[in-house]
Amino acid sequence: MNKPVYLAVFITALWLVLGLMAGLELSDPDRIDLGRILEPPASGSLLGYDDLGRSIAARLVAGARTSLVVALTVVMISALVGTVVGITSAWFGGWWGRISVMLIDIFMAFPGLLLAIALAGILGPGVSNAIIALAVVGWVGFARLARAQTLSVRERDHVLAARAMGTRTPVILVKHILPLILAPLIVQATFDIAGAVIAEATLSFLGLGVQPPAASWGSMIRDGVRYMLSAPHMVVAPGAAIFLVVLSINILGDRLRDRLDVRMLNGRREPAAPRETLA
Amino acid sequence: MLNYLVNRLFTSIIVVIGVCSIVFLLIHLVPGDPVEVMLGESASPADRETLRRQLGLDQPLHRQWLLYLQDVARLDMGMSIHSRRPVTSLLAERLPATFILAVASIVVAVLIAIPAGIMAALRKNTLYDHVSMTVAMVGVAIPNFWLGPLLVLLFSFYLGWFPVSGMTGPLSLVLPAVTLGTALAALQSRMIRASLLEVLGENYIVAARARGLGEARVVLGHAMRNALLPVTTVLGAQLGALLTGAVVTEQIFDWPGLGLLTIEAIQKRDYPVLQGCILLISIIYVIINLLTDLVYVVLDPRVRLDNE
Repeated sequence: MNKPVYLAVFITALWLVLGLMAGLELSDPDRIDLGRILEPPASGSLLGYDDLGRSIAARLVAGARTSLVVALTVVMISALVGTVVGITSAWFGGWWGRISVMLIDIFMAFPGLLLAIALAGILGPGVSNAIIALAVVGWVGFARLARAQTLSVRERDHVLAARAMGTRTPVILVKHILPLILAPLIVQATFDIAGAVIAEATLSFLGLGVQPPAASWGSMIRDGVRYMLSAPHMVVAPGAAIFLVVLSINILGDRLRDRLDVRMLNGRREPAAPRETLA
Repeated sequence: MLNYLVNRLFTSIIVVIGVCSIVFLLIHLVPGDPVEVMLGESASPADRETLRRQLGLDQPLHRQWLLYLQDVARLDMGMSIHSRRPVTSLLAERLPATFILAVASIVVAVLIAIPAGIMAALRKNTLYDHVSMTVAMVGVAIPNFWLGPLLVLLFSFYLGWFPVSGMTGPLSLVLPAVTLGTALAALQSRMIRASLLEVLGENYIVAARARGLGEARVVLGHAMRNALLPVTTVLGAQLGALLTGAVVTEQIFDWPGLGLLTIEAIQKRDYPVLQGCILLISIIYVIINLLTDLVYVVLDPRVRLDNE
């Protein structure tokens, strides 16, 4: 392990801890201090105050919780649904195979986050709608990957042996197929967490994520842009938070990919980094 | 070859129909009555009925779906609730701005990525390589809704070089294009470095060098041609992210393109316009991917052989 990896582990751990801790309300992210409106960072207030006189440090911690909850929930749902669809699609084939491949192709046809933006816009803002919108877009990557991987291991001898012994299909899929295809799925999940952090912030930046007064790094940037000239610290802090967390998770993902020796992720159409990082 | 083309085209048509169907379903996901949401509670029952009939919402679902596909095939995407104009003409009005922005940011990306990627590959494991690849890693992780405002702060507010927002001439294109192009440049330069390194180890490069060709000829004439192949294919997928990024970037810079129209449609609950935007952007993406695949087939003879 070299220094960047240590740093990445540290920042990711910090994100996890702060995200979980935000529920404990160490400092109130909604407390308004009218005397300190737009106050720049100074000794005593590390990151300054926003346009309503709320502590940016406290809101950053509250935003960590939002991004953590959304990212982990979205990736868990996407991974579960996508893996089940992908494995069963490759294993059973037939009409289900054809329909699932068609569905995968259709959902892949929407560029990046666009469908999620539309869905979040239609369902209305809020954390749960943001999670739904992102999961609707997120499962496809896992489904494609799980399908391709399952196809490549389906004919292995131990799978054939299990079938010959009359092992029930669900048991074969979970005990004999899943362990073989788990490594690339884990790598994909890692990159997808970084993608989901950006995606949540994007939705919140567009006003489609969490609603005020709840804090999100994306909506903090959205609020801060209006005071760019007088109070740039409102934009700098949450942006740096997103950037550091995403960079750290990507570094860990790269590291994990090398460790688990996953060569190609999704065939030739998938770039080395996740698609959503561009959004 | 012909088989492959026909097959690929056929799949794309099915995908387009599928995309239309999902976009069609969007309006049925509106919580409550979409007509009421669009017109507000104060609308008269007669107005509601008119809009309901106009949108075809009084018909059974499968009939609505068929009607929608028919209309889209005739390039009729309905009327904007807000501006009372055909959605198609709104889209046509906004498309050029997005096109200009997308092309400009690809130009920015390529201008940065090709030299940076080549230099990094040629000076593998030197300080230059490490620094530029670190910068690339950083570039990928910077969200463009953060980069954009920071660029505005520095280059518009402090230095006064470029306009803050709007589409007011060539200068106003610079900051949006850089904002949108940075992430693409970062990804591309990593790709170019990796694939160039792979190609540089090939025998024909050694042969070219043995023939006494200059380094520039070897790299640009022999190696790059093949190194660009994988770069071309990922470009298709990256363009998808670019189109989404345009939604955010246009919002930041008030750039009057499809992305801004999408967000305006969401804010005004103008669902026919929203459907039109999503449909148009997605179909552009499908076509780009189809073209990318075709270009790949043209560039790489091995793909042709594989499919025959």
